[in-house]
Amino acid sequence: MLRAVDLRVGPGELLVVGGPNGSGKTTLLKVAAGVLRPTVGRVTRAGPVGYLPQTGAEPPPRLTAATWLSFVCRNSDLPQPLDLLAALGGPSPASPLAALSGGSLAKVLLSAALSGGPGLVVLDEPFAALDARSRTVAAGLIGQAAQQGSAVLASDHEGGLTQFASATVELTDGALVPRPASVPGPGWRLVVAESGGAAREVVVDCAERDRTLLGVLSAGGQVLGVEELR
Amino acid sequence: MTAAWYHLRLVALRQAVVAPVLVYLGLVAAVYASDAGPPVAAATVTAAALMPVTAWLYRLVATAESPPFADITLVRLHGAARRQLVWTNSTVLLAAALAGAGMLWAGVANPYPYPARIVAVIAILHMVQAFAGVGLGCLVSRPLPVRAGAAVLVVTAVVIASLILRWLPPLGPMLSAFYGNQTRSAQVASLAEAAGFAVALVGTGWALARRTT
Repeated sequence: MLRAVDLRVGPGELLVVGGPNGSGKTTLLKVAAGVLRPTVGRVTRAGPVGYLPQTGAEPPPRLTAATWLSFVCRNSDLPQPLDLLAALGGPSPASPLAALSGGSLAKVLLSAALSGGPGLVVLDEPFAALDARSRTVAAGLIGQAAQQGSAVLASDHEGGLTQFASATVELTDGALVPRPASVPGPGWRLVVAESGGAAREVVVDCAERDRTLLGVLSAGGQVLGVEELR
Repeated sequence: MTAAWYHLRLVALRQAVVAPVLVYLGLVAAVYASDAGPPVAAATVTAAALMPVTAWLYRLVATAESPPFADITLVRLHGAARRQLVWTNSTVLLAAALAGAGMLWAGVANPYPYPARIVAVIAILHMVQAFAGVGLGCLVSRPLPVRAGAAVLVVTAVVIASLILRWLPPLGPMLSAFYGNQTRSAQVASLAEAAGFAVALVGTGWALARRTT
């Protein structure tokens, strides 16, 4: 249940919604997209809506990605979904949806959602099924959608949208708690030990966190501690 | 691709329509296996059979997508009202195809003349019952949380009640008026009752869907 949620996402803005499991993020995004009607209050949307639900869906049988995209995406002045799919390194458009892996299916759905604007783009955990490389590309495309004038509302556990976010809000027990706009400042304290070296402590922002951890681990080092600074 | 065509394609790819189509064509075959009598009286039976079959088809169209994909379609169609209109259009197209097949079968198998006026009356009978089936389908399909077993029970109950209580639309008055060879005003009244029944059910279904979605 959502309580007293008052939210506005303007054209060109990317608002990231965070919060623990069960806090109401998916419900909020469904209400924003028009999948659910609010029992109290109202939702106003300008222009068409692109929507990415959480994956795990059973796709329609024997329907190819291209056929499905041709139905879902009708706006010819928008980035073509097939171009977006190619940029994401997605599957062949001739592939049946039912034969795709979870990650490939997520790329098809994300391509459709980003082509569904330019009014509002609603993304529910867009990186959940993507590999590390695809996450970076997807984050760039989502940021690009906002730069091109779409209002983007997304939930993101991975932190991949932090660098593009105009603002982030926290949802707790169905109520919004505003947080400062995305600041690249201190966010995570990492305690790492390079291979054969002594342990050291670094403080990095969210975008730098994954890169630092990946660098240490791939060089044979160890991660001794990760702590979020609030 | 239009939304109605997309949904027709989905139910075809799922092969979900095979069962109701075979059931309906089987009944048509049974009716016209021997001399079925005057064209309109015989067509009254196949039109009555089209009502529950159309309710079945509506449910198949409405459940052709799994929930997350259905949510994307809902957003793409800008809301529950337009989605139900699309489901209605798709179902009516399927029902019209079945009605056409039944009429063609009748014209070939039934040894009576089928002038244009009779064909028009038969077409109206079938489409009124198809709309009634759509109305019933609205009440037993998504987005209303009605399980398949409950949907079967509701449709069966309405069919049986309307057959037993001859005053209860959509089937009873039409069968009495056309099979019983009543006056033209009684026939028109029976069709109006069935159409009113359909409109009331579709309206109720849409109102409930708007509250649910």
